[in-house]
Amino acid sequence: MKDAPFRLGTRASAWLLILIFAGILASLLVLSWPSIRGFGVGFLVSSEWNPVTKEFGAWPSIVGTIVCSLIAIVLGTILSFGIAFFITEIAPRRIRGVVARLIELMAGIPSIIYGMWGLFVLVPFMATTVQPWLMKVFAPVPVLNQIFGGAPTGVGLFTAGVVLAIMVTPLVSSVMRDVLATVPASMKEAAYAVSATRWEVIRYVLLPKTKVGLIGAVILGFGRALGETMAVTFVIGNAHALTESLFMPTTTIAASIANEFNEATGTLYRSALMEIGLILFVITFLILLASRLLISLTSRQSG
Amino acid sequence: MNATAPDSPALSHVSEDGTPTPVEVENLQFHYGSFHALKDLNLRFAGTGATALIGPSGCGKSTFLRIFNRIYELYPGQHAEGSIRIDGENVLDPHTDLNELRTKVGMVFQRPTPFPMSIFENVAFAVRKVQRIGKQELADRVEWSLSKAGLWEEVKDSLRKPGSALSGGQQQRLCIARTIALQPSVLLLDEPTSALDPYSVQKVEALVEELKNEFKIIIVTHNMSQARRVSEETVFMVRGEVVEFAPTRELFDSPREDRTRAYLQVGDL
Amino acid sequence: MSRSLSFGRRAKNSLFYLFSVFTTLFALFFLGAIFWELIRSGFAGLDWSDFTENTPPPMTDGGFLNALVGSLIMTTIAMSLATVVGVLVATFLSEFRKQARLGSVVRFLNDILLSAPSIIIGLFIYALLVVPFGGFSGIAGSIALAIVALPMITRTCEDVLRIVPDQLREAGIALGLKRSTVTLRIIYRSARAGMVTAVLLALGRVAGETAPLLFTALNNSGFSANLFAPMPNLPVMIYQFAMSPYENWKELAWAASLLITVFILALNVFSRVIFRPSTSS
Repeated sequence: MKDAPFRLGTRASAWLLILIFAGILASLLVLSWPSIRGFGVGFLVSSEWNPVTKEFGAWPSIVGTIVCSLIAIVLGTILSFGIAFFITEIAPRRIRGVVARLIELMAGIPSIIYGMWGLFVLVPFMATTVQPWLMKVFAPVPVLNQIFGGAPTGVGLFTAGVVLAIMVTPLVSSVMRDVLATVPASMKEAAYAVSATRWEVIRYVLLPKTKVGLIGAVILGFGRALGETMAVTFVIGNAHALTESLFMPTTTIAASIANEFNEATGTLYRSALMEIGLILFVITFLILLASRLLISLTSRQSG
Repeated sequence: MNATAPDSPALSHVSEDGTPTPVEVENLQFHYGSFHALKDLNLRFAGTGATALIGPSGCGKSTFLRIFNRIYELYPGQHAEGSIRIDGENVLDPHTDLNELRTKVGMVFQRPTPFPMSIFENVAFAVRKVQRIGKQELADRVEWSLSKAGLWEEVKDSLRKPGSALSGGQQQRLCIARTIALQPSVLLLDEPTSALDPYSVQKVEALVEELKNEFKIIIVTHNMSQARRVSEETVFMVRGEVVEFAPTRELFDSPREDRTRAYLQVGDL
Repeated sequence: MSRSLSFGRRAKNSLFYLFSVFTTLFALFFLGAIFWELIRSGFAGLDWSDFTENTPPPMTDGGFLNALVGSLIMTTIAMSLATVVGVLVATFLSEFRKQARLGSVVRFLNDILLSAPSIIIGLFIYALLVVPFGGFSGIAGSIALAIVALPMITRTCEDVLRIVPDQLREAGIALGLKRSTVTLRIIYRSARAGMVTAVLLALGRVAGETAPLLFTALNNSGFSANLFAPMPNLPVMIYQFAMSPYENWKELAWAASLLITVFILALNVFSRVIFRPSTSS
């Protein structure tokens, strides 16, 4: 092979990647233009979503996306935190690899299978066991009885949040492990040498040292949760409504698009869906930027 | 400070018929970004035999070596000015064909770098790519270079084995064989023994002794006794400048510069 | 001064142990629950006829031959495109470092693509190929999947290529070999195992991707190998069948899910096996 075409080929591919990125932005902008022009900034805060009257607003789906991802990341962080420390600090060497591999396996399962499992296993369980129990327990508590209230159908924000939590855990825990691995062994050994317990080493050496990076891992998981589509579509209920209860059907941006795009008739309807897609793209981009920054800060500190 | 090799009966720079022309370095500057790494080198190496480059770590001896085949150009922010003439042609001329230059000026590195292929292929690969040559001739060339590198007897029955299966010292000799297979006129050796065990060091040094009769050798080393053993002339550099350039024996036995004397006494610490 | 740990310190330590073990078991419990359901419902639905018959109308017997073939076609095209482009971009990033500025822009955009929701890729290809050419098509689905795989392959391949020591590049260049020869014959060869792993990982991800296919390939209840018509595929079939009220469709959805999961598991194991020998050497 000649050198010139080879160089040209690699360079052209690099430009192609830039072009794809620009194309995504451009096509989202162009196809959402009717909606952007029609509804203006009001689109962001309007709760209307009526294909018949052609009135569309993104507010419920934005709130749904963020609340759902927040539930996911709170639960997911608790799980990931325990798992990351279990694998790096606590587990005996032999179990360590096996557990790490199993958790990795969870990352490999496709979103749609999490969704099916959520729909057929988790939803009934939520409907018949979890929600009735929560309702009974919190019935006398003012605000909480609303948060856990509503007809126990099993679908809704909370179920979607739980499924997402399981899905983001492998990612978050593995980034956390990477971050923890940046702490030099000598530093931990020094702490053990003055008879610190494992918890004390974690609490007073590892955590302060890796705080920023761990937060970065959490934000990265949050970003992943925001864009997750199929699993959520199965269990969220798909209703453009703001709900007080965590157990009522609502929607997220990605689920709305997946669910409605092919049935959407009329330019404005599709355009509105495109626009919420654009909003999602921008949000995930900002979130990625933030997590990147934090993770790189830790590696620079200890590197 | 610039230095030229003093006249010496052993080192004839006179270009008679059939005698290789000397390697001439003129006004050579080198920059890493804003760092001025080599400052105005002017040297005239003998056209045959071995020239050693010595000096403390970071003095620019390896940098200097890497200009002869312009391998520094792989990296951004590095550039050279001035001229290096080999066989009368300026290496730094922008019109120089780099691939051709590098077949003429071979290089062996500090660590052995066998390619991920068989022993035979390691030697044959570049020859086949660079020169049009028949199958039998290629096999002969491989045998010739492996013999020259003192490796033939050890590997002739395992030519199909991967190059990485050899020991470190054997790998380094394989890399030398690979380089001389292209029949270059100049051979650049960048601390070729610093990653080897004493036995292999001995073997490679013996090899250099022999090869310098056929190729012009420029060797960077921080092992001063090695410089003394294998070279006819030595350049001593500090911080990108040449402190002294003299026939090796003269430089080691009666250095003219105080800095040379001090370095020879204390060594590279 | 007591030599033994105080009760408080020990209690806190044990509590953390407990928390850590419990969260790990909890996550593994979910993994087990998902596998259990996959195996239970998947095997119940799995049948030889699944591989010989096309997707059926509600409440009749059938299989998912058409969807399987469609998925194979689209995945093959997607992976071929993504592998070629991804390896070239990775090569640009790792081998041509003199163009550092363009490189860092490309690397950054690649990271954004890597974390972009895959449904956005679906919308993009819808705008790029479905709207202008008047319909859903297998080729649109393939390209959408390729764009999902591309940033993964680029990222992992760049990492793998960067592990190859610079000395090997220099050694090749110093022999007067062309840059392309050094890269194709020496650098790729020493990074081979890692590059194959990169492609396998991306394949594992793409095999179950649904969102980018929804508005590109759509689905097709009949057999179709026509790249310019809607193309049946397993993920969208699973989505539609699982959401349906029909038992036979749900069974097929589970069976197909089991198939995909087993495929991904096998890829996982396989990529580990091939990567091992080269990491040890």
